[in-house]
Amino acid sequence: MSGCSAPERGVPALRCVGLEKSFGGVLALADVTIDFTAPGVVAIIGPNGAGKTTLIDGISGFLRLDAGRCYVGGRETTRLQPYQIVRRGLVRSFQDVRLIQQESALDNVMLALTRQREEALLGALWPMRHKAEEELNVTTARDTLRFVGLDDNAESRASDLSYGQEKLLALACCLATRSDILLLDEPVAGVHPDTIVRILELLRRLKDDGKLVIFVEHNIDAVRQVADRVIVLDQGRVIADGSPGAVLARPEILDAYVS
Amino acid sequence: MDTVAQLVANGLIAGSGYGLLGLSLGLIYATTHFFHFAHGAVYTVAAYAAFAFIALSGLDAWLGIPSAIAVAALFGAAVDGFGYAPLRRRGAAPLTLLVASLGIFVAVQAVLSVAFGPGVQRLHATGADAPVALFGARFTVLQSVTVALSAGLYALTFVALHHSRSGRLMRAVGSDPRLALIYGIEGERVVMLSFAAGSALAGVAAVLAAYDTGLRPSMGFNALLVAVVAVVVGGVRHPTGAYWGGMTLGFVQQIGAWVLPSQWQDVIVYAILIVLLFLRPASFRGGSASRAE
Amino acid sequence: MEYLLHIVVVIEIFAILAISLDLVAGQAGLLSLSHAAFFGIGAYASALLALHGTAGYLTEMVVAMATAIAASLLVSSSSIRLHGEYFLIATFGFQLIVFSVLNNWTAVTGGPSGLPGIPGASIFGWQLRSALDFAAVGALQLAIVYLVVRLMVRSPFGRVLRAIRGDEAFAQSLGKNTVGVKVAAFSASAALAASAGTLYAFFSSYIDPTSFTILDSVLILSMVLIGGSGTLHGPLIGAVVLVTLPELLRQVGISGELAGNLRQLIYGAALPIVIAFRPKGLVGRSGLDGRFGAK
Repeated sequence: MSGCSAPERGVPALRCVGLEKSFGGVLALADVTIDFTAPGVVAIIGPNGAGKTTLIDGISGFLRLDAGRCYVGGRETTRLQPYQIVRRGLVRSFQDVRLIQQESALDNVMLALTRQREEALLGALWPMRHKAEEELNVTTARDTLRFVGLDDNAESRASDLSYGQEKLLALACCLATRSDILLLDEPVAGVHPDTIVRILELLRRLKDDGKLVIFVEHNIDAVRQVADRVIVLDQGRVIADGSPGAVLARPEILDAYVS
Repeated sequence: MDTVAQLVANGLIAGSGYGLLGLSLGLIYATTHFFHFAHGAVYTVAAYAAFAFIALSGLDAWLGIPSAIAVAALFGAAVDGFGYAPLRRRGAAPLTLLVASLGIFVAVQAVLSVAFGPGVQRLHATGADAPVALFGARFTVLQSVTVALSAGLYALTFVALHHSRSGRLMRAVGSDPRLALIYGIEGERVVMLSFAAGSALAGVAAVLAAYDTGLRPSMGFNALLVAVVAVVVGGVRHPTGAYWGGMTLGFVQQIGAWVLPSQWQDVIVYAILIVLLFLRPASFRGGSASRAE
Repeated sequence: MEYLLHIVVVIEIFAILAISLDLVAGQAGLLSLSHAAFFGIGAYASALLALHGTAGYLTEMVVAMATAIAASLLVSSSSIRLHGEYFLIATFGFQLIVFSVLNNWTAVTGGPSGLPGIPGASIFGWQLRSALDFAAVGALQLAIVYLVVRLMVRSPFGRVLRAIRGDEAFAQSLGKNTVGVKVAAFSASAALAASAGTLYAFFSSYIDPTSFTILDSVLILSMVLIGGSGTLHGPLIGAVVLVTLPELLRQVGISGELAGNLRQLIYGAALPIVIAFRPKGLVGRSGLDGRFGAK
């Protein structure tokens, strides 16, 4: 599924060039140009309305940009459909947690895990062919749930999970897509402090596994704990980009976030 | 069908009928953002009410027709009040409301079929078929009445929407459904008013059609398709736009009738619908998250 | 006995129609009002081929299914990306248009008079003649359709379908080509409906457009919703109930015409009631929007 072959040396894992988007006269993104390299944990912060979710929507193909280009592993993804971008190795999560509520946690992860060729309609008529793969997927799915700490809830329906568990499940689904780049929209917002710790630990481990995690957050504390790079967006423009120590020390940045 | 004048006349006649249909559904759609399929039932009920009053009970047309239109208005409001409102309160999704609407349509049609029989019925008005010739085009008195009435009702609706309190309220609620909640009782009344007004207009269209081509229990389905296409064509935001949507539809269809064999005429209606749904992605496409921060 | 077998065949036909509609409407949440149109396309394609060419049951069925798939692509290529309500409207329009074409294209379809005298069909030499023959073929067909749809539902493909109904954007965010999957499911559903058309055409030996109207599409949808979507036996039960209903009414002395209208009144009224009080239908697992139980 991870269609991106090992990225060549020197090619950024994700590159955004000159991204622009307006909504009826309101500029949400203005000439945003950023290079991201893997592995890493990058935080994108900024006041409300700064364009953070728009950026994620634009990169992941859910929003058509007015101008600019995106490249994943050196290959352009600007006009691709969301599902095509996932197959190139970039996955995103949603600010309002999205899951298939009526299905179990395990089924949600299985959904993320199964590959295109296993899901073909005609393939359904020969259940024997993919039986082995399906069983392997179940094992991998359970392992993924164990990685995020939800193995006890594998059979629970998603709608029965707590908010924090839903966020963990959404993260598990992102992982199951085998993507090397994860765009997470407020992964720790609104969850219990214990869950925050768990999620941040998972993000660190993902970086250790060689992945690139880019996350939008308002929780500056979380950002300080786990990010190795902070990008600040304000009114659609990048106004700061550097290490957390450098960026978060600037008074004007902190002012925007007095908390 | 020899001259351009005839083509224009045919287009105007068809367009006026379709425009009225579009306007009737458009009024309701603009306030509720809901494709009220049972509108077809309201249409059919109006036609059969006129038939019952005039042909069966012998009532004078001057009394029977307004009565039929009143029946339509009441029935339309009742469908909303007793059919949709309870479902809305239970949190039904728009798609399920559509299915419920369909069920109501079908059930009502069955009742009418039983009450009046499945065959074609006719309504006669003396002089309605009298020929009129104007600028080289030929049509009937009834058809000219259709055009005039349709235009008049459009003007009336337009004025009412822009210069009356109820009309302004209707437009406000239509532009932001949450306003209906803020307006509370008034908001609900506005919705009911739009159902009543839209149904009354449908009633006029139905009575005209009954005199023109007769009545059959299934007449509501094709009327509904026309109304829906007119709303889609005319812009789902402006109730009066649906009138022009219907007018356009009428003209395009008549031009099509000129060049295509008869079995494909309705295909034009469908094709227009599809082309428009296809070309208006923002309003109609689903399945992807669109978020603005 | 003959009469009972006749009803059995009709049940089998509608069960195939309801189960195949559930594949899109129940599983993927793609409500469609054009199922009777595909049923009709299948019937007419089979009948025309039998009248003007060969009369092999299987050949006719394959052609019928291929024609229906082509027609379904016409609809889905333009409309599958639309929001649920608009897709429903597009299928509504398609249904009315197909009826109009069947009713008006007299040169090809016989117009309102339809196509009488459809020759008998045979399967590998077995001549299909009696009601019993058709009941047997119908049972086999129904079993195959049931099996095929069951396999689809329980496969990874089915999982994607249900995900589309649950949250299409989420499914897309996980790398699913939801548009392609919907097109595939819609085509399969249309093909299966057309196969029922073949059975119907040969069984009746006479078809006309009045069997393939918008009301028939609503009837099939009602079978799915009243029987209960989300399972396979829901539509099956819906088909049994709604086919036998007018027959039962006839036994009580109500005329055929009236019985038909009464049934229409019942399932029409049942739709909003089921939606309000029992979205799961009689035996279903989930309501239209995938929720369990009335909200």
